[in-house]
This record gives sequence, structure tokens and C-alpha cells, in this order.
Amino acid sequence: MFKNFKMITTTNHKDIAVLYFILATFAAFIGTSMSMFMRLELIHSGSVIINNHHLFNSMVSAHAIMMVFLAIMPAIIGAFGNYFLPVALGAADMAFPRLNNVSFWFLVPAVILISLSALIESGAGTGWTVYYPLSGIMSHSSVSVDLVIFGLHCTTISSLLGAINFIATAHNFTDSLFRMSLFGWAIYITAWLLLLSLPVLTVGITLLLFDRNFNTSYYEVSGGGDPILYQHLFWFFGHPEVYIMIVPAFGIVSMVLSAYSSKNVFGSVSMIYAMGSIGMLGFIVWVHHMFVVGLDTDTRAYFTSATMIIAVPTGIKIFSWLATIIGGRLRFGVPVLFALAFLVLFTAGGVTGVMLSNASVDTAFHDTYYVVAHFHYVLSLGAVFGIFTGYYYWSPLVLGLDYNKNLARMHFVLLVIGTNLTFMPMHYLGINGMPRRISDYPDSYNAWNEVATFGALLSSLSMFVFAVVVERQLTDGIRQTDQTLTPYTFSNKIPNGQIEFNTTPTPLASHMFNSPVRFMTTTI
Amino acid sequence: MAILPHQRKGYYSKSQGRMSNALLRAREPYLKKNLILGGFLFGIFFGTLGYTYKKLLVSDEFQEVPIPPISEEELKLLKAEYEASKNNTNASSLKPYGK
Repeated sequence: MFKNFKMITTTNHKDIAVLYFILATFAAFIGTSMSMFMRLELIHSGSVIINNHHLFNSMVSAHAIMMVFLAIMPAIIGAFGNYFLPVALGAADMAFPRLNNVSFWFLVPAVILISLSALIESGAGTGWTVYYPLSGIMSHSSVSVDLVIFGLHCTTISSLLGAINFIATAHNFTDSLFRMSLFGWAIYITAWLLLLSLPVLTVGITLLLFDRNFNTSYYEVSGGGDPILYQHLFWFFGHPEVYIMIVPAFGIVSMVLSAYSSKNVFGSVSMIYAMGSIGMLGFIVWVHHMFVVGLDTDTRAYFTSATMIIAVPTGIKIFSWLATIIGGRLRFGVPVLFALAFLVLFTAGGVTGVMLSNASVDTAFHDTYYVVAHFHYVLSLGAVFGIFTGYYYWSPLVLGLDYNKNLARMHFVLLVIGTNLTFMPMHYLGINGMPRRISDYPDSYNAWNEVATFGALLSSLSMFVFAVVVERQLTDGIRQTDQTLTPYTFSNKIPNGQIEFNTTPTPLASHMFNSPVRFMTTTI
Repeated sequence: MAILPHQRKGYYSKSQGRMSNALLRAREPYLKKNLILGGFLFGIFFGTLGYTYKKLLVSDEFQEVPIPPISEEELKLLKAEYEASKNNTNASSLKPYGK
């Protein structure tokens, strides 16, 4: 009778990884549908389909939280990390398999709470930042904001348990961390970023909960509190969070470019140091998100300079990827298409990031669509393209079934055109001063908004093509009986569907496990 | 319809997907190390959380605000003023301070 609970109680890292991916897909479709509503509202000036401006703001919040905490993070860290970190190390499983299960199941109430927050009463029109006093009881008296806070608590617990698991697995199941692949390093560094930044978010939102419900005044000015303190606490977490989403994509892209160029990653050790530097610098630049709160010149000068320094390790990574491609025999498989698009578009997002890092420029660009364009180029066209790179690279290995290459290429073309049509015009709108998080605008912004909405429609069409790719893969996919992988992945030759235990050292070869030895027959 | 190939998971029970005795034995040598490192990492989390709360959100008890010394005579005068204003139901007592 307990057979039906197998997927609920499972402690197998691969099962849990698949669960993560299913949940992330579900959340991504919710988040994408909300972004479609927003883009349709913005197709023309005036009210188009949403007459309630607060509802528009609620969708902004729910879209961001869904995408950041429940789509990208579970997919790129939860799914790929859980599946491939133990495999990359040759470990039997994660260090804490039961904790791994708990970690996943904390995300389910998070999805429910965040969805409910948008559906009940008037929703939380606070944005994902939940800034005080907008999120205070005087501005948002409904319970929606409380549900957002509880939802964020659930994602925090989930990510914390996952991060501890990743670090412990990486340390205890390998002789030397430098034996790990770049993807393993990416997950390891990401886990440290999570571990060090999440407690600060926890403090920030818990005190916000107290201010709302228990009459404390940590942020309430009339009670001696400081609303800027909340911004500091939030962004001390919020900026590393950006790297938490993008660093695993770095790892995936490194693996794919190396495998498809048939050569090792150029400067793999410098790539590791670059990821580490990006992670460390991520903790000392948070104030560039709040340049306009009224800071003295010295503070702005420091945070401008520190932020610009991040371009150095990022540049090292970009040039190392290019050097990996150059001199290799690059095969243009579907994962490579996504990886190359990642390179170009992430660089574009990085360049606008350097512009925004300048405090004086940011004063003009703050809260305009230029910022929206920047972070969507980094995350939507960076992290999401990284997820698709990983999916097309590893899904034949995970599922044992190949996908339709032509459909996948169609998905790629539609997604690249759609996302660029959506987000490129936002640069022009932002430079012209169109404010973000407002559902109406002067008529002069009509043209570029129409283009952006058309691009969003193309992007959503590409998502349906992706759904068809997965459906055809699962129902009619070509069975991969003996897929050969290059040494640049994890193992020389890995038969599909049974890649556990086929790299040393755990379980130890001398171990007396009583299972058939067939799992060990295809080792390196 | 679905043709997902059978994935052999020899170290997990087929019915419930739980770890087999073989896997538990294989993991046993790592148990102590895992627990120690896990505890240390939890400690980092709660340490950071506590540090953030204690050091950054310390309550202001106004200890640095200087309180001027006050003599017994002044104190008596103020007390008398307070008592008078409390007993006085005249609307004039509600006049703003200083007028």
C-alpha cells in the first residue's frame, strides 16, 4: 500500500532531482503566465486587460517570487545539482538523503503560499523585495504579505537544507575538491553563497512579520525604526541571490562547451577562482541596489568601484569560454546553441550591469525599464538559457530517451527571437524614463511596448514548443541504449538510466554490497 | 504510451524507494563525518543569524543621551506643577505648553 508514496518518501537523489524539475516547470508556467498578463496590459497605454493597478503590482510580485525562488533555483540547483553533484563526485548519494527529501517538500507549501498570496484579498503589490513601509500593515493590511513572508521562509528552509547537503557531500565524498568538475564547483560555491546570505534574509523578513503583526517597530519610523535597515538586510541577501541563480549556469555552460569542443575548459583553475571571486565580491556590493536612498558620496564611490570589479572575474570566464571554443572542433548540437546564446546575451546583460553600477548613472536609471532589461538579460536570458542548456545536454542521460532535434532547434530560435524582442526594447524605454511597476504610461512609449509584447508572445509560444519537445521525448523518444559521453563530462561511457556508482570512489570497490556487480562493469 | 526505460536502482527498494541495507552499509563510514560537518554548517547559519540580530539590530537604550542633573527643589516644583495640572479641570490647563 505504500508503493504510491514512493515518490513522496524517496531519498534517492535522482528521484528528488526529478521532483525538483517537475515543481520548477509548474512554477515557471505560473510565473510565465503572469508575465504574459503584464505584457498584454502594457501593449498599449491606458487600461487594456487589467483595470486594477494593484492587481498588476500583485502580478509583478508573484511573477518575480515564482521565477526566482520556485522556478530557477529549484531547476538549476535543486534538479541539476541533486542529480549530478553525487554523480560528478562518484558518490552513492547526497550526504543527508532524508534531509534532501525534506528540502524538496518544503517547496510545495512555498508554491501554495505564494500562489495564495496573489489570489486572496488584494494580493501583495510589494514586488519581490517586500520593501517597508509599502509592505507594512498600514499599506498592505491584507494577509497576502504575511503569506509571502511565510512562503519565503519555506523557500529559505528548503535552500538552507539543500546548501548544507551540497557542501557536506562535496567535502566528504571526494579526496580533493579539485577533482570535481566545474559544475560541481559551481554548485559548491552556490551552496556557500546560500548558507551565508539566507540567515540575513530570514532576519529581515521575520522582523518585518513582527512589525506587521506584533507591534514592533524595527522598520517603523514613528517607533524609532529604520526602513532603510530593511533594504540593507534584503539586499545583503538579494545580491548574492543573483549569483546563486547564475553561477550554476556557468558550470553547465563550461561542461557543454568543453564537451562539444572536444577539449578541456581553457584555464579551468582560473574558472574556479573566478566563480569564487564573483561569489565573494557578491557580498560586498549590495548597496548598488539602493543608490538613491540618500547615501554620502564616499559610500557611493566605494560601492560603485566594488561593483565594477566584478566585471574582472566575469570577463575571465567569458574569455575562457571563448578560448575553449577556439581551437576546438565545435559541434553545433542543441545544447551548444543555447550555451552560445548564453554567452552573447549574458555579456550584454553584464555590460548594462556595469553601466548601472555607476551611482551617478543609476540615479537616472533607477526604477526604470532599463533595470528591468538588465536583470532579465542576466537572468531570463542567462540563467534560463543555462537551464535549457543543461536540459538538452543531460536529459537523454537522465531519461534514457533522446529528444527531437528539429523541434529543439525550433524552440531555441523562437526563444532567442522572443526574449530579445521582449527585453531589448526595454533598454530604450528605460533610457527614455519609463518607470517600472506601473501599469500605464504616456502614449509616446507605445511603439516599443508593442514590440516587447509581441516578443513575449513569441517567448510563450516557444514554451509550448518546449512542452511538445518534452512530451515527444517522453512518449516517443528514441531509446538511448548506450550513450557515449566524452571524458569532459563525468565518465567515459555511461549506459543510460543507471549511472549511479559507476565512478569511483564511493561505494568503495572493496565494499561488500550484496547487489549485482553490473553497476560496476562500465566504470572508467 | 510512456516508454521510459526501466531504471535499475539496485540500492533502493523497489516498493518504497528507500535505501537498501547495502546502501546503508556503504554509507556508514561517512556517517560521523557527515554529521560533524552538517552540524558545523548549521552552526554557521544560526551563528550568522544570531550575529545579524544581535549586532545590527541592537536596541537603542538611549544610554548615550546625556540627562541633565536636577536638584531636589526643581523636582519638587515640577511635581507640584504636575499635580496642579492633573487636578485642574479648567480648560486653560489644556493650553499648549509654553503659552
